[in-house]
This record gives sequence, structure tokens and C-alpha cells, in this order.
Amino acid sequence: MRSLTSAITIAALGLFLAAAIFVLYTIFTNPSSDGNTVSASGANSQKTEQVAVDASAPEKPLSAAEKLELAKKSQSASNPPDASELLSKLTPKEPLPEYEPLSAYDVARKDLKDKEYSALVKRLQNDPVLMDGLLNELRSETDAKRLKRLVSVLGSTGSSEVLPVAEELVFSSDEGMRKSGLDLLSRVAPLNPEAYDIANTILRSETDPAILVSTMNVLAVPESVTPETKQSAVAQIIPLANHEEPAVRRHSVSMLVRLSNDDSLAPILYGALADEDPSVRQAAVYAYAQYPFQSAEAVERLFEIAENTSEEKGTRRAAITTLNSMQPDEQAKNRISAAQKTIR
Amino acid sequence: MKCNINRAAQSAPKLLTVVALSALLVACGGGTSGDTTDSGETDGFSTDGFDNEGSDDLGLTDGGTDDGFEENSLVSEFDTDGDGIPNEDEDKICKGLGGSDPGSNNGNWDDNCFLREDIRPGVAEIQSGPFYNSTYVQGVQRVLYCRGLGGVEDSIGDFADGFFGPDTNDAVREFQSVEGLVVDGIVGPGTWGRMQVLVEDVANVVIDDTDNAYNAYGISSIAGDEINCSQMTNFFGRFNTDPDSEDTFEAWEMSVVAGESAKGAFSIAPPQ
Repeated sequence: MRSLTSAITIAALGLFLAAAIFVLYTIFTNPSSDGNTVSASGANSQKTEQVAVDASAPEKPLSAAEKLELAKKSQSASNPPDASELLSKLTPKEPLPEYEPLSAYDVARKDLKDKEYSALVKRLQNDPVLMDGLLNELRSETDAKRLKRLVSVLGSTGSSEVLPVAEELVFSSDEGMRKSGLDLLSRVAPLNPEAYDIANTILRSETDPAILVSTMNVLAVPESVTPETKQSAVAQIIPLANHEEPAVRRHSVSMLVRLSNDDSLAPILYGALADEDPSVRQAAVYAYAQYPFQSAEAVERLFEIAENTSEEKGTRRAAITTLNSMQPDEQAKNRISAAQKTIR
Repeated sequence: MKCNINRAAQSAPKLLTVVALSALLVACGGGTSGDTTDSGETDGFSTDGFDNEGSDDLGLTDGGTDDGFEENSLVSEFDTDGDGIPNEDEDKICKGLGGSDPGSNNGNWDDNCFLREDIRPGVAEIQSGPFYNSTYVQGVQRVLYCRGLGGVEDSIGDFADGFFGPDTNDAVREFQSVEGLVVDGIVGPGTWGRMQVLVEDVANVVIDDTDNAYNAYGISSIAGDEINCSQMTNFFGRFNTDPDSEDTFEAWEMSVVAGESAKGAFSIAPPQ
């Protein structure tokens, strides 16, 4: 009996050993288990097979960009699945349908509905291969509509991974690409304070009015920025309040009160209330709604704007909104009410 | 957990090595997928961005207050109706979430409640912002559509669904860029103001109602654009009809269906 038990034990050990060796052999010889892939190779069995086939040819492991290129070539030979249709079926509680990263890559070039768009953004946030692919696309895309869509989708990820490419674009020589880079920066800036530093660097030396305006847009939601960064931005923007281009003056006035409530801004804002350009006056009127240092002279000028029947309706109404926000007394309320009646 | 297979192999007899390696395989997850992330997902798809059903990783916190409500709950003693708005702000215009017109009787279109996607610091990813599902959003979307910014949607009704999603965010940003406003994707006072002008430019008809008088408004279109909403009733301005007082503007309302006469709210309430 004892010998029988020993025999069974040895046999079991032998089987266990054989199984373990087989498992180890599989691990060490399977090229897909490189420990580096995250979602691209693990998304589905079909993809795993494809990567294994692709990886058997070259001597070194493929980079993400190379894998994308190979996938692109193999897909161009057949009809790609309609990824837009697949994505439209997604809801958060359903498992993701099988689809190749390249399909989503194509989807970024299409017009997307909200659900499709959101699904793609979530995918991007978890798929570095797809992210790399789209960022590479962004560098070379020439079609304005597709470029906008790429900027929108990549910006919606809020990912810091877009910052290097955005920076590359904003310092390029092409104005369209610079604007695209700035648009991308402005979308991710609220979650990535580094974007504000890039914008500050541009403001120090930029002369193109359109780029100055786009750069200030990057600073538009400065909720996560340090006081030092804000101070630096204010120092760059104050001189722009006297820029010859109305668009630059208008934006600078709007941005200053988003970045600071320092009393030193009072003369700039007061001067902007009398700017020759109506859009600058309107920006100044709205700025006063956010600015705590409202002198009697400034309030009177706001009343003059509200009561001036020659002033643009939007600017007059903005003045009324701003005056209402200043907790007016009864006399002021009556004056506001009288002005309001002359607008309609 | 890091797993160094080679080091384990050198430090044990052969048989023990196999056993140890087998144990390590189990401890490391035993898979060969190379999936190095640990998202808690078990749906068979690698990090697809979707939580598994029943997942409790909401990432929410109520600030650690000892309020008797469990952590990961949006509900706290400061927000007993669980709408994300602290109790003390419930009665404020826009519930304390933006807005710059505290004296408004809705004469200025709205109360300038801020409409936006939520990209504030501390928010893990871009989410729906305050009032993301409201007739305010629906009204804004109608203006955007009529200015040729309706994205892929074929009709004003399809685009103006009242949800502030990515397409609306893109359209708002484009609108701001075209109109020379600060481009931030947030419908704040400046954007509201410009939109109001585009609506008031096309007052169409005065409607007498048993209780009130209304102006009906279309939306100013871009010259030459195939989308023309100037004759399509989208908004109503309500005036009082008290014969003893002068006409006084009371509030804005909105057609429930673009172009039709049934009136509905223009507010932070969800669309009907």
C-alpha cells in the first residue's frame, strides 16, 4: 500500500512537473508576452494573433508606430469594419465590442455623435498605441476639418501626453498648425498647468495678433494655476491692453480679470470702457462684473453706456447686467430700470 | 507587485524552482496577455475604459466628513437631495454655480448660469458640467445650430437635445471664436449676451394670450447659409397684460419644439 501511494505521488509530481515546464516554455517563447503592451495587444484574441504574426518577422520588437503602420497596411487590403457603427452601440455597462485600434483611428477622421465621441475619448485614455497614432496624425494632417476633429478628440482626453505635440505645433512655422496647437493646449490646460507656462513663453515674444489672441485663450480657465504663473501671465498681458489690434485689446481686458483682481488693473479697465472699438468696450463692461475695485467714475461710465442709445445693444445690456451685479441702491435700480426699457 | 522570475530561479533547487515559479505565475496573474495595468476590469477586454457592471470604483469622495454617509457617496449632509449642489446654495440663482445677474428677472435671457463641460481641477476626467441637461442648453444648441454649428446632426431637433456633450462643447468654442469672444467652451455672460442679440434681432410676431402677451423670436442666420431659422419660432418673450401698467417684460420662454407654438420653460430644468 505504501509503495502504491509513493508511486501515485511520483506520478502526480511528474505530471505537475511536465505541466509546469510546458507553461514555462509557452511563456518564454510567446513573443506577445513582452510585458509592455497594455491594451492594443490584449484587446481581443484576433489582435493578439495579429501581433504574434507581425512580431515573428522582425528581429526586434515593434514600436507602437510600427505596429500601427503594419495594421494600417493589412487593413487597407480589406474593408475595415464600420467603427462608427460599433462605437454607437456602446454604453458604459456593455463590454467593448471587438475592434481594431486602427478602426478608432479612422473614426477620429469622421464626424461623430456624442456617444461615439465619448466612447472614443475613453478608449484613447486607456490605449497608448491609439493615442500615439492620433498624435502622429495631428503632426501631419492637412485637412482643416479633420485637424479640428483630431484636436477636439485629443483635447477631450485632458491627457498630459498631448503637451509635447501641442508645443511642437505652436512653435512651428505654419500659422494654421500653430493655432491648432494652441487650441489643443487650451483644451487640456485646465488639467495641465504646464500648458500655461507654454502660453506665457509665447506671449513674451509673439507679435502676430491672431496668435496672441489664440495664446490668451489658453489662459482662459486658470483654476489650477499657481499665483506665480498668473502673475507672470498678467505681466505679459498688461502691455497688450494698448495693442493696436482691437481683438488683442479685447482679449487682454477679458483675460486680465480672469487672472487677477489687483487694484493696479483699475486704470486699464477704466480706459477700456471708453475704447474706440465697441467689442473692447463690451469686454471691459463684462470685466467689471468680475472686478472688485469699482470706482464711482467707473460706475458712472457704466451707466453712460447703459443709457447711450447709440451704443450696441449687447454692450448696453452687458452694462445693465454688470450694474445689477453691484448690489445697486434704490436710486441706482430705478436708473437701471429706465435704461433697460430703452433697450427693447 | 513586481515579479522577477530569473532571480527566483537561481535561488532554489530545480523542483522547488518549478513550484516557486508556478506559485509566482499564480501570484502575478498567470496570464500571458502582457496587460500591466490594474483597472479592476474583468470583462475580458483589456483596459477598455469601461467599468465592469457592479464596479464600485466611482472615484467619489464626500470630503471625508463624518456625516453618516458612506465614503464614495455623492450625498452628504451638505447636499441632502443628492444633486451635487450644497444645501446652502440651492436657492441661489444658478444654485451658486456661476451666474452674474443676481438682479435679473430673466430679462437678460437667463440668469447667466454657466453651462460647460466639467474640466475643473480635481475632476478626474472631463465630465458633464452643471445644468448639462437643461432647456438652457437646448436654447443654446438651437442658436448654435442656426449659426451653422450643428455638427453632424441633420435637424435642429436632433442637435438641440438639451445635453451639453462634446459636440456642443465644440460648437460653443467655434461660436466663441467666430464672434471674437474668449474661447473656453463655457457659456458665460459674454456668450449668453451675444446669443441674445442674435435672437432679439428677429422678433417675428406679437402673440396675445389670455394671460400674457408674447413676442415670438427666430434666430438670426448667417447670410447665404442654407440653414435659415429667422422665421422659425424658437423663443418667446413674455410681457404682462395689466392694463393699468406699462408693458413690462417678465421672462423668457422657449418653444417646446423648434418652430412650434407650444411654450415651455427656458431654465435649468431638464427638457420635457
